[in-house]
Amino acid sequence: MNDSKLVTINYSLYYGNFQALKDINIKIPENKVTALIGPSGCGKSTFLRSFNRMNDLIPGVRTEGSVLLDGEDLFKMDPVALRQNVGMVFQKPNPFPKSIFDNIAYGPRVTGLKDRHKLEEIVERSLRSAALWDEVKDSLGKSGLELSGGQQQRLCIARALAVEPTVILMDEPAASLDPIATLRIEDLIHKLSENYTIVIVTHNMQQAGRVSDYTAFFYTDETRAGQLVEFDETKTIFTNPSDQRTEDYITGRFG
Amino acid sequence: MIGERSSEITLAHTAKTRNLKTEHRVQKFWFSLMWLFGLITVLILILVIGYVLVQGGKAVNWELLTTPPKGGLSGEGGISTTIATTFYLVGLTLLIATPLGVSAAVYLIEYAGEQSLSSKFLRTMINIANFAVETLAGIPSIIFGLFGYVLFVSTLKFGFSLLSASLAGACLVLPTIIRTTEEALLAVPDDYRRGSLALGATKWQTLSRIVLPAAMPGIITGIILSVGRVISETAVFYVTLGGSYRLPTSIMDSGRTLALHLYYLAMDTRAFDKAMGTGAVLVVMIFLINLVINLISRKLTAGVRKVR
Amino acid sequence: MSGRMIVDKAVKVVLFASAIISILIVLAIGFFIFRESLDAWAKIGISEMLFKSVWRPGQDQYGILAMIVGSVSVTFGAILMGVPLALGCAIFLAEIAPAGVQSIVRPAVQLLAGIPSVVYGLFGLVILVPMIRKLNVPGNSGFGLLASSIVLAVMILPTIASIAEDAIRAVPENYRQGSLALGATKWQTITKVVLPAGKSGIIAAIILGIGRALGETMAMIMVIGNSVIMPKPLTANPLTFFLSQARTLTGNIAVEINYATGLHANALFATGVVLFALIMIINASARWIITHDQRSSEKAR
Repeated sequence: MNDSKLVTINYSLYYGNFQALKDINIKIPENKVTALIGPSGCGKSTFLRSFNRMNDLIPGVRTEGSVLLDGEDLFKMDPVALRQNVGMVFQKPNPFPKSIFDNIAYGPRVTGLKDRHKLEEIVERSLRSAALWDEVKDSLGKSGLELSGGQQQRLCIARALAVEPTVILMDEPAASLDPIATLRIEDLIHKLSENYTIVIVTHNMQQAGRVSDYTAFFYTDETRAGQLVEFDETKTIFTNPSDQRTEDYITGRFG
Repeated sequence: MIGERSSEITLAHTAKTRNLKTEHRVQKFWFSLMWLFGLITVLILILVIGYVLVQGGKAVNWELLTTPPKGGLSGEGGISTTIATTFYLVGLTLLIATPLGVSAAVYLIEYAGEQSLSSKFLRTMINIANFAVETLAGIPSIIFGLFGYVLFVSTLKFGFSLLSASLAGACLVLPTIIRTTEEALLAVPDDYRRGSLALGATKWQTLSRIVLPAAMPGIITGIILSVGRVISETAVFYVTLGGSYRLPTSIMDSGRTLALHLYYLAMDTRAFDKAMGTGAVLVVMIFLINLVINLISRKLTAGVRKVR
Repeated sequence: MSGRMIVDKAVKVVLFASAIISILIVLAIGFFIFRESLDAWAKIGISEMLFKSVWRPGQDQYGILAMIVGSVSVTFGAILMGVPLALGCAIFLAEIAPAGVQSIVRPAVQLLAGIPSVVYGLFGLVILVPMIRKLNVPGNSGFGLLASSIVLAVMILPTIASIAEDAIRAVPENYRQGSLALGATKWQTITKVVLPAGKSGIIAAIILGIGRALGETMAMIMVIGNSVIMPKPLTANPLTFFLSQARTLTGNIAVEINYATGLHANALFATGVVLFALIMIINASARWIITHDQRSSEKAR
């Protein structure tokens, strides 16, 4: 784990007086898939949203400790610039009510790109990377909302890729999809990990086992503050966890 | 608290050129403009209300409120009869509009979805009724005035009278009462209805004992809104109520509401100070009405939160 | 059948009758106003009424073109001033203002909507008209399109602002999040995602504001001057158009109906028919925009 892309040091997060995350230290490796697992309410989604500072949008949120991207403190960066570098895919596919083309061109356009040829190039490349090109190449003018759920989610992934991030955060990206669409997304995640650092929140143990290289297990104690219990290679976590709570969770004894 | 502060750190590994500083400046400009627009709106309100209250306040005293107008070219006398007429008209209008409006809303919400309502005729009627309510809501008040003038004043020979004016006024506020009652009924949870029906109550028993009481704050809001509407309305009553400044002694008598009196003072006698005084009384009334509505709706939302 | 069952049935019939009343009122309004206008259309002629601008009831000349132009001009002026302010206010309330500020501005908007139109008219009469009269332009009386447009702009502001705010709030939160997560600024998110997504509701708000403006009566009578003349620039400067006096369709009806008889009264009802038709077209288009948009977004789901 020498090439750490994202690092947190004694990171805590509060909603007003309520502590949601407590003293989290983690080193997320570059160009690997890291899964965040744990029971509901353990703060893993909140933790994920720390990496692109989407928590800033919630009034009353306060943080302690630091989060580093490539060794730089996230909270000293311009959040707008940060989010260009750290893309995000949400639990529910959320394409804009615009054409497929305009959905993907949205990110490049907000950064000031106007050249139509360049945009076309980016749209095609992003759709190919998201394994959606063949299905939609003849209907780029169609509304993104007319696609199926699985296609919509791949559109959102393509949309995130178009901004050329180095990190992609995924918040239960397959939670609202059927099994076949889920498998396609998982394949895609696997392929993308060659070039991107991917952090994925999932409730689905099998999914964590299938797609991730590393797994972090989150748990809440009696104070209800989320903590990192264990972080290791996925196969270690699933076969030989060092913490009893991790083992109980993996084997389905609670959660 | 994390601030959305901008910084000059650019990401080394992104080859993208983006002038974030300019974008943040653009955003700051537009946000300031929107703040300004919000501020202007509040300032307009303060300007209009403040001016009317301060200038009009000088003319308002106990004597103005308690003596009747004496007519004449400079608007001598007070406004007591016009206050009374306003209350008469509000009462009469709502006496007509409230039962009709609430009943219509109850039918449109509680019966329109019934299984037994498979009759095509009824379905069509309900669709047309919904459309009619929407149409009524959009008709400008002078058209209600014209209608009241031709039907009640001339054809039915009620003349310029409280009766003609309140009938026309009822048409004007009917959509308001129907819509607010509909919203109030829709907000009553279906479990209440099922619970009562399951105990063997008839539909009407369920409605009168469970659903309507639960919807009451919303219905009252609609009625108070209509009170405000009648107090502020001028055009309808200008052509149906006549302009007598005497106190009406029967519903067939002509009269003047406060708003009408203001108009006559300003336009016919050019008694601007008295007109302002009347305006101040009107503004205070509207302010109180808004206050009551806000109190009810705050209570309503607080109740909803408790249920959740 | 038990007693309470009979009551149940009877109540249902009574409620149904009430629900039908609105239909009857709409039909009656249409019927009576149209019936009273028939003589005017027949004796004066449709083109004579709609396309002539001379209104001299004493000489049986009833052209309402000047009033149509008056109504449209004052509405145009009000839209020009009121719409940017109202939309800015709506965006401010829905997207920008902190909760504390919202709780001041929103009741202010609500209160603006409740102030009687004669109070606005009086304010215009006492403040705006004397101010505008100070502009040194020959023929400028202070009364006219400028004063009435300003008054009307303030009157339609709350209508447009509150409907547009609702439309903006109805845009799903995940569109905003999606845009911000792609590195858009908040302002880019508002202009490129939120406003386009709420477009149909915003347009409907503006159209309903136009309807409200065309229908306003008493405040217009108080500040527009009411001369039946075709509004035109007072000098070579085209901007002085707005200093011209005018009369609106609504004002024409209200000012004259109480003493009009015979053909004159018929002509006023014909004025009402024109106004009614204009408003119906405007409201129908607002409804069409909203339902059309709902249908297309439902199809997408």
